[in-house]
Amino acid sequence: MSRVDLLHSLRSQLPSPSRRGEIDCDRARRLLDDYLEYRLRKRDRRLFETHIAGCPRCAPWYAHELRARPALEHHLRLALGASVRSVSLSPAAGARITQSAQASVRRGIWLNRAMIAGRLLAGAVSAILLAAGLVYLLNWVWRLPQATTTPAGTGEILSSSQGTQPLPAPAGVAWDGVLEPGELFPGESFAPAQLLVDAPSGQSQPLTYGLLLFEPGLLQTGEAFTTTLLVRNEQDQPFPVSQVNLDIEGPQRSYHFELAVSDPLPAERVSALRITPGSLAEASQERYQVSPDQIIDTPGVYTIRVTLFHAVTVPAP
Amino acid sequence: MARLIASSSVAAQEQVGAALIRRCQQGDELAIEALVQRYQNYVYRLCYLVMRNEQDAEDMTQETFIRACRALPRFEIREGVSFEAWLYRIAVNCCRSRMRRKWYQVVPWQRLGFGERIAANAEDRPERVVLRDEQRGQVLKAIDKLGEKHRLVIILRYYADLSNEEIAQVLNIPSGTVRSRLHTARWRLRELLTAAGLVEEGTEAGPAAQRGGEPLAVGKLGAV
Repeated sequence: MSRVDLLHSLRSQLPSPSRRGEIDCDRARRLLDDYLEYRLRKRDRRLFETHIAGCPRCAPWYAHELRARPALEHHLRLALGASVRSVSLSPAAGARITQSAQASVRRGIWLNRAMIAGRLLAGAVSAILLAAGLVYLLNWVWRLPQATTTPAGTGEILSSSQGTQPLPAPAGVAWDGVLEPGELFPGESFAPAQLLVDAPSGQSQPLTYGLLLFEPGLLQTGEAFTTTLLVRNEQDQPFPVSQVNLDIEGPQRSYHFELAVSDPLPAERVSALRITPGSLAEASQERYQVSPDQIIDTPGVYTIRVTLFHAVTVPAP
Repeated sequence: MARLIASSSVAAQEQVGAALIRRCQQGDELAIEALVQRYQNYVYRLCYLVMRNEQDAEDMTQETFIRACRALPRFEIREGVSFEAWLYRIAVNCCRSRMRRKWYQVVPWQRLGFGERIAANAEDRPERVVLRDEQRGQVLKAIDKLGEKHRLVIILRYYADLSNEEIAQVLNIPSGTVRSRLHTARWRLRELLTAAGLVEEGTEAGPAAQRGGEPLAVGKLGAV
C-alpha cells in the first residue's frame, strides 16, 4: 500500500470532520462536564444536544454517563463523608486552638496597624522625595546656578551648579598643567576648604577646593588682569567641568563672561585654570565694546565671582 | 418556593458569617471563639482527609487557625470571595507544607481500621455494615491511587462540596485546570471502581453500547 493510500485509509476511519454548526464526538465528550454543570453557552449547549441526539455512538455513551456519574459521585461523597464522620476535635484541643486563634488575631491587628503606619510613612517619604525631585527638576529646567560671592582676590569661590550648560563661548580655557601647592606660587599656601558638590544621585561628592588668585595682586585702573583658579580634585577619577563663568560687579558696570572648559579636572591633583585678558578679549569686545584693560576703569570696590559648572547626567524621570 | 426559602436561608447564613468575621476583625474574643467553633471540625476533617493522622490533623488545624486569624484583619468581605474557600486554602497549604517534609508518609486508608472507625448505626445488620464498609474502603483505596493534585480536587469537591471556582481559589490555580483535573480524576476513579465492580462499565465496550441503548431525546437532555 502506498503512503497516500495509507493516509487516505486512516483518514476514512476517523470521525467525519466537524462542519460549521456541528461538533464531532471528541468535542462532545470534552463538553460533557460543562454541559452537566450548566456552564455551556447557549450555542454550545445547542450544538452538544444536537450532536448527542443524532449520533449513534454518543447517545448511548451519554445515557450511560447520566447513570454512572451520579453513582460515582454518590460513592465518593459517602466514602469521604463516612471516613471522617466520627472524627472530631477533643474539647481540650478545641480550647487550645481557640486560645491560640485569639492571640493570633490580636497579633494580626497589631501587624495590620503597623503595616498601615508603615504605608503612611512610606507615603510621606515618597511625597517628600517627590517634592524634592520636583524642586530639583524645576531648578534644572530653569538653570539656576548657585554661586558663591567672594571678595575679590580671596576665599573659596568654587561652587556647583545643576544641569549641563550648553557651551556658549566660542573661545575656551584649559586647565593649565598640573601644579603642586607651593610650586607655582611660592609663599602661597592652600587653606583647605572641603567643598561638597551635589550629585544628581543625591550623594554628595567631596572632591575639590579652590583658591582664586589675581595677577597682579594689586590692580590699578586701566590694567588688565589674569584670574587664576586653583582647584584640587581629590577623587581618583577626572571630574567633568564644562564651563566657567566670570561675573564682575564694579561701581559703575557689571560684566558677565561664559567660557567653555575644554578638559575635565585631572584626578588627585591640583590644577590651575587661567582666565587671561586674551580669553576675555573677544567676548568683552562683542558684548560690552570694551577691551579687558577697560574693565577696571574706576577706583572702588569690585566683586568678582567665578562659577564653575560641572557636567552632570540627569537620569531620565 | 422551597428553592426561594433555601436561597434566602443561605443569604441569611452568609450575612451572619460576614457579621461574625467583622467582629473577629475588630478583635472580639467571643466572636473568635464562635468562629473557631463553627469551622474547627470542618477544617480538622479536611486536614485529616489529607494527612490521615489525627495528631497531624490537629496540629494543622491549629496552624490553620493561627495563620488565618493573623491574616483575618486583612481579609476582605465581598461578593465572590468565600471565607470557607479562603480558610480551606490556608488549611491545604499547611498540610502540603507538612507533607513536603521528606520523612512524612501518608498512611494508606486500609491501615486505619476503617471498618471500626465508621461505627454503624445500632439498627444496621452486621453483614450490611461489613459490606458497606468494604465498598467505602475500596473507594478510598481508589482515591489513594490518584496523585496528590487529583486527590485534592476530589476531596475538595466531594467532601468540602466546593464549586470549581472555590477549588480554584483554594489551590490557587485557574478554574479550567480544576475542571480538567476533576475530569481526569473521575475517569481514573471510574476505571478503578469499575475493576472493583462498584461502578458500571463504560459505554464503548460496556453493556449500554452492546445493547445499542436508545439515544436520549434532546428535550430530555435539558432537564438533566
